[in-house]
Amino acid sequence: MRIIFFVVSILLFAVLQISFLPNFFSANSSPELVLVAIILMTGIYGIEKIWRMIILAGFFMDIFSFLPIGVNILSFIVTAFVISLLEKRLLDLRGTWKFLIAAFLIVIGTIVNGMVSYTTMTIFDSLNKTGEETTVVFISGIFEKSGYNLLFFALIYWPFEKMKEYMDTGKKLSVVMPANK
Amino acid sequence: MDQKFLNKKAVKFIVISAVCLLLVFWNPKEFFNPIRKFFLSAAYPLQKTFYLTSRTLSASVEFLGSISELKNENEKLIKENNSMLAEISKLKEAWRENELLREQLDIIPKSAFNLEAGLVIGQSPQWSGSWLIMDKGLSDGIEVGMPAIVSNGILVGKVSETWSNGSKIALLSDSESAVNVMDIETGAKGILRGEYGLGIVMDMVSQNELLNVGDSISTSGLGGDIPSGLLVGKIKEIKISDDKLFQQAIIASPVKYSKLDIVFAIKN
Repeated sequence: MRIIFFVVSILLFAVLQISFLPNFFSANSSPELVLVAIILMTGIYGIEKIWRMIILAGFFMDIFSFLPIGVNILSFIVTAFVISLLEKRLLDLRGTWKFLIAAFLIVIGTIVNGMVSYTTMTIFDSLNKTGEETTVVFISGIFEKSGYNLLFFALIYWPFEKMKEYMDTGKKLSVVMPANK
Repeated sequence: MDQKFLNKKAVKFIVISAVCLLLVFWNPKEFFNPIRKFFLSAAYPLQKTFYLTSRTLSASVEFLGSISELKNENEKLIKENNSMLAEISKLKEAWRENELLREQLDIIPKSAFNLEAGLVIGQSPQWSGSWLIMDKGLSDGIEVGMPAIVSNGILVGKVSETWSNGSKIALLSDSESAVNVMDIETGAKGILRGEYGLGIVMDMVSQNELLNVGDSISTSGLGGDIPSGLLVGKIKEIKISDDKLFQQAIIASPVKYSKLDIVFAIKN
């Protein structure tokens, strides 16, 4: 059930990123819903449990962004790997600290993701197309994007926690019940 | 045990990264394009719904924000309207001359274009690349290479990919866009290039050609892929290229690409 929920959510976020958000944000600073979901899931479940989902999410984003297949997969995997090295498992924390550390991870993840995809695309486009203007646009866009990603994270944090509690409760009940029989 | 697990994780990470890099630089489009088209076709109803909803919401938000400017804008428009009335008689004469010249130069008038109108249902979300998704595709007769205009004959881009029920239009501001253009007033010819989704530049203009700020730029028809006479924009600034061999003109498009609702693909 968790897998189906994750796949459907990722597809929905990807379509929202392409078709809903561009009318409210400029191209360089549009929030990355899929990335925020990946970072949250990595922080809570760990990369070793969800690496396949991360690859699938990157694949969907490459499909809908018309980028070469592999660009977003690579940037998401690198981001998730960096997050998994940095984070304390969010399961161990409660309340405000958990939220603040998650917010910090969102900012770090946005910067890492941006750097990896920028580097990959720059090499892909061949070096003579890279110019000072692009770098300036990229750098200013990254900070704006981090801000908007944080905003989206704040919006989905509580519903996400409730959904996770619901799923974890269901899992515990299914473990407990055979013993009660 | 922790160390062994870390090594396994690192190995997995390295292998996946290597496969991704291989995929990116090999870029097997022939393999992935059918998969992409399948997902795009399947997501089409959602994309259209989301895009139209967000356009409506965005327009409402913009309207609320612009209420205070409406009075000033109204006064400005009344003044402009009055001055335009005086120009109408001059334009009628220019129209007669235009028709005569079209006959002589054998240029297709815009009314003779076979146009396919399409709604915009998606936009590029990232800084790399600048494109739109239109809700018309192969089943509507859209083909790769067709020019895309807005209703009054302003060129905005070209169809770069197409599938059964949609097309991707690469905008003029896309860094891979290149269109043959000319200065309508002076006849200077050049190539219009996109700048990473930020703007458009008329490049490769010879040093002995004349360019003026405010001149209108249109397609020249050279190359045969885009008809001549489609307006692109006006010159905003003129400069010399980095290698000092050519002139460059920064062009201001009269159209805001992020606000397009409907585009037309020229089928003939």
